[in-house]
Amino acid sequence: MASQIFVGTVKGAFVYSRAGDTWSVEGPLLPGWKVSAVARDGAGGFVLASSSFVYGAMVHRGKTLTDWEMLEAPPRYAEESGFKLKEIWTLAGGEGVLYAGVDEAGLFESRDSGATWQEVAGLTGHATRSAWFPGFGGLCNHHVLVSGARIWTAISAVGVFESTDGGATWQTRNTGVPILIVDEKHKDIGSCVHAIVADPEDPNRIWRQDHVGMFRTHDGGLNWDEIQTGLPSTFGFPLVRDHASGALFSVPLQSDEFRIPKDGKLRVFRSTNDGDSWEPCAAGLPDDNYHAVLRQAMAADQAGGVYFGNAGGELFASADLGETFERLPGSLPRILCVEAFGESQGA
Amino acid sequence: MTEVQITLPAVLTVALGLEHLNVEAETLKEALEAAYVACPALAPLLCDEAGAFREHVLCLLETGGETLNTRWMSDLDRALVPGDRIVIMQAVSGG
Repeated sequence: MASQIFVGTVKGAFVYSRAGDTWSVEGPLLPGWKVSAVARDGAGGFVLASSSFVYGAMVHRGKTLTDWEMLEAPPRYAEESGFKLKEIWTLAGGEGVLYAGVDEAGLFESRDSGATWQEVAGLTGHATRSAWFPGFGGLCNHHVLVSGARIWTAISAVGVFESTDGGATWQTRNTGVPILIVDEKHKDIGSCVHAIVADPEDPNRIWRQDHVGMFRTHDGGLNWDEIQTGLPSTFGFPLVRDHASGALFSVPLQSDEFRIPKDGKLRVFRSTNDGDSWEPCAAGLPDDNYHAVLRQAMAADQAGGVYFGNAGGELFASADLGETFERLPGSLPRILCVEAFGESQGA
Repeated sequence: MTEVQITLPAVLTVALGLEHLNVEAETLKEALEAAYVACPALAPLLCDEAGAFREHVLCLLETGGETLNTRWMSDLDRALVPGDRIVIMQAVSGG
């Protein structure tokens, strides 16, 4: 089980540290800031993304999860681009490079552990860009997967793109996923992807929680198949994988219109057969809960630990791949992101 | 050159680890530019891509018993006098 859980909320971050069976909590760190993402920086430390509707999006670097320095050159679009960077939705590391997926949708890369950032112009310059349409959460690039020179990125409500040349050029990867809002000209975008997760041993295997269902691909996104068996709805946000066991975890919600746990029963759904079928994990989870779990608010620590927080500020943890959950102490602001670090390899 | 103090709102003082800056400048514009040099993270926090104050950033000049909003000024070249203070606030409206 992880020794530290990082929780980003709309009003600062909280760090849960475990000693035996006891958790202690530090925070709020960066009070007043939306904390939307955290990741390892590739240089032995961590990077964090924060934002404020007053002061914009910033990046912080820390040697630990509780001591942060605001960096002076966050990702930012050039004025002449016409795009505005409102928020950083995800931070992801590659080999010697760090990526930031942002709203207004685009991708930035840093080759100095977050000190400076460059726009990946091949994505924002994609031929379909003029037809990109925002989802309820904005026009955001919220997931980035990296395997060598291959990069996948997930944009709401546009879809998945892949680059096979380190970000120079991009191709849409949405075949097999029903398009939510069909564009007059570009028929291969308009699918509202909510989350993607890949098998690090075979990056062609990717799972996808979409606005219209759960999907998987075996060919890096060229073709997607629906894998809905056992899920109570097609709608949900987070999707994580315990790579050692291959178990997948999601938290379905009752429809895009209602966005609450079905019948108030907060449930994690688990698949132990690569998504062929799903089963509910109920032990320790409430039957009277009406808060959504947002797309970045779930993590697996790769040692059997599964963690998630909800929009009601409640944090839950399982040490046994979802067999049982416990609610951790504290009633936090709306939880945006959860990551697990420590003892195991973590996020 | 006039020494002026620039005070920051709490959400920035906590994030940046400083409560205020003291700079020397002839004008309001120079004082802000000196602050951006002393604390480089301040520039992207206060200014948009075009270098203008962000929509919800309020910059006030306290001078001679008056408080002047930079939004009332045609430019920031106003000369500073001893005792002036620059106050950065969140221009947040509504509850």
